[in-house]
Amino acid sequence: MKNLNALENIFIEIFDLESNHDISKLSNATQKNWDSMMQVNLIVAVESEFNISIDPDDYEQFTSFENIHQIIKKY
Amino acid sequence: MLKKLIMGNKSLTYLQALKVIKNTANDKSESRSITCSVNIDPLIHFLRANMIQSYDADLLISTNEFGTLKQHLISNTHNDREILFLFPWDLIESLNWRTGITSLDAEYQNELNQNFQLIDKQSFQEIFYFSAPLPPIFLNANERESLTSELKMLASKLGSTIIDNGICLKNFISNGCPFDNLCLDETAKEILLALNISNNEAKKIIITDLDETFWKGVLGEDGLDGISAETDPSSHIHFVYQGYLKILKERGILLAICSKNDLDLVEEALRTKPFLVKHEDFVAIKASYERKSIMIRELSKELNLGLEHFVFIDDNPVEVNEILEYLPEVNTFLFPKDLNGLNKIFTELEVKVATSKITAEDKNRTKMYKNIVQTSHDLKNEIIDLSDYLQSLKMQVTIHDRSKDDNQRAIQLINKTNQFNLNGIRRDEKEVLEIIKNGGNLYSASLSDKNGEHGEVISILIDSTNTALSFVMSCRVFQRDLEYYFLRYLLKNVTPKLKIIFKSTERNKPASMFINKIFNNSNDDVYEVDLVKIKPWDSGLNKIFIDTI
Repeated sequence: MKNLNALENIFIEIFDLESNHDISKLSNATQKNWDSMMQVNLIVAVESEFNISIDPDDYEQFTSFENIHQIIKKY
Repeated sequence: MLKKLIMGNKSLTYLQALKVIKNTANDKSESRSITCSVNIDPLIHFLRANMIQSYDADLLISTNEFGTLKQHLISNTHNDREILFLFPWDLIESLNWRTGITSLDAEYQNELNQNFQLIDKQSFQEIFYFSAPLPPIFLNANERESLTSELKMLASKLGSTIIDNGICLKNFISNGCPFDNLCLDETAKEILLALNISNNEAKKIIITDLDETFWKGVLGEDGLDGISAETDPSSHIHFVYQGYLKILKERGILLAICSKNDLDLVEEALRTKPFLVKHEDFVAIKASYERKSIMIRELSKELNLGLEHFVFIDDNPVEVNEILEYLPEVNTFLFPKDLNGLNKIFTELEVKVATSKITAEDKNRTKMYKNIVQTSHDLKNEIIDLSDYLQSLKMQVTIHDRSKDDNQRAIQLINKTNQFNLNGIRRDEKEVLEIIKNGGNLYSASLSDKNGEHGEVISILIDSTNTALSFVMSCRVFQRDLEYYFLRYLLKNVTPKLKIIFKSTERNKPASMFINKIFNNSNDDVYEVDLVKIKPWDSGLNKIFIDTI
């Protein structure tokens, strides 16, 4: 739960979303400004906030909120 | 103080950095451009956030396009607010992990030399060399280690700040950003610390005590044989200290002595003992039994150098406290008991005396300031009539038209000079070149006298309407009437009338006096000068100088 909230915060800040935005369904297909630059920012934010170093193999799965949530659970 | 300011701030996560930037309500900002071959976007957020936290001002950063470093360097249009980030692959291309592991090009030494020369001839506010790991293309570990050291050494010669930590190849390969995401905050703090933004009090002179500081022992008590600074354990710390002073001197930092000792004894010790720092390396030696605060204040006057530029190092807490109390502008250090403590002083001094590039002027600074001290003594002790004295200096001026090239020093003067600066306006290289391109001109002059070379010491930037936008002169040639001579020369040979924009600043009293002497007032205004106004003064100006244009 703690991880989920923290990840929601990351999305709100990175994509500049309203706090009531439904983040759980968010993906690079639905979020317009989710480009390669945002992808880098997301990775930096996740590593920095959770103090983890993500395996580059997992980068490819950084395509949706749900996927990222699952990846974080591994660390 | 600065280190405490930056490093003392709490470590930020990425989101915290974003929030700091978002929540800042401050309109104050500094702008810098960072030139590099990599993606630094994540780092920029941490640089900005730390800048806001430490200086209460935002840092607006622009960068070149990803992967265009070489083109940018060749285009050679840099300014004094530009910062260069260097990585091993910028010096030798086959060291780039992103292009795959290839064998080291046989001509790599040539490539290295060419890239070094290319960077060396340009001026950046600061260069950072990130010592990233080299790819496994070497025959053995020694070869790799050796090239790693060689690259660092060359980077140091360029005046770089070397950063060894916080590199992440994983990130570099995946997104072009070579920094470890978990160390971004620390890296940003390290960069800001080295940049020393808003530091108007760069240290220019180190005043060192002698007994138990510069050397082991007490000269007055132990005699010449009782003092040493060698590699033996008992005096090793003094040997290391002298080595560092010597390096600072080579970078253009002045060295002086302030010691409660007999001057003749001190001079004998410096001339006869095999110290790393020799008698001639010191710009001045103050050895007497006067209070040290008095000796330092006197030296400040003799060198015409503000006390805020002074660093004082002494092993005696009483002396250190005296300076703290009477000369609070001086940065004081208590000489430590061991090498760990000494290293702390070195680390702090590295920031305070930091420079991005060592110019020929820097290397000759001790000699030039020695002449000033000598001149000051002459003025005090022997010469009464200034005109005779100036003539006795046998000054020679060389006027340079810097409108086309070789203008680095002339522009540097515009951007460094505070006292004799007619309006205090800084103009970067780009702006100066733009003014020249639009019909303006940049002139400067070098001065030499019987004591030696002073180098290029005066500079004027004139636009197409014959308005002097900048007119500056180094404080080391004050009271020689050079400014009048220089203007007279321009009025005779370049333009018969010249408008001068004067604006008083907190520190340009000498410029204000100059304006007042010519126009009998020194209000902020545009003044017009011609040969009638800039007449030869009583010193017999025209007799003093010989042109060697």
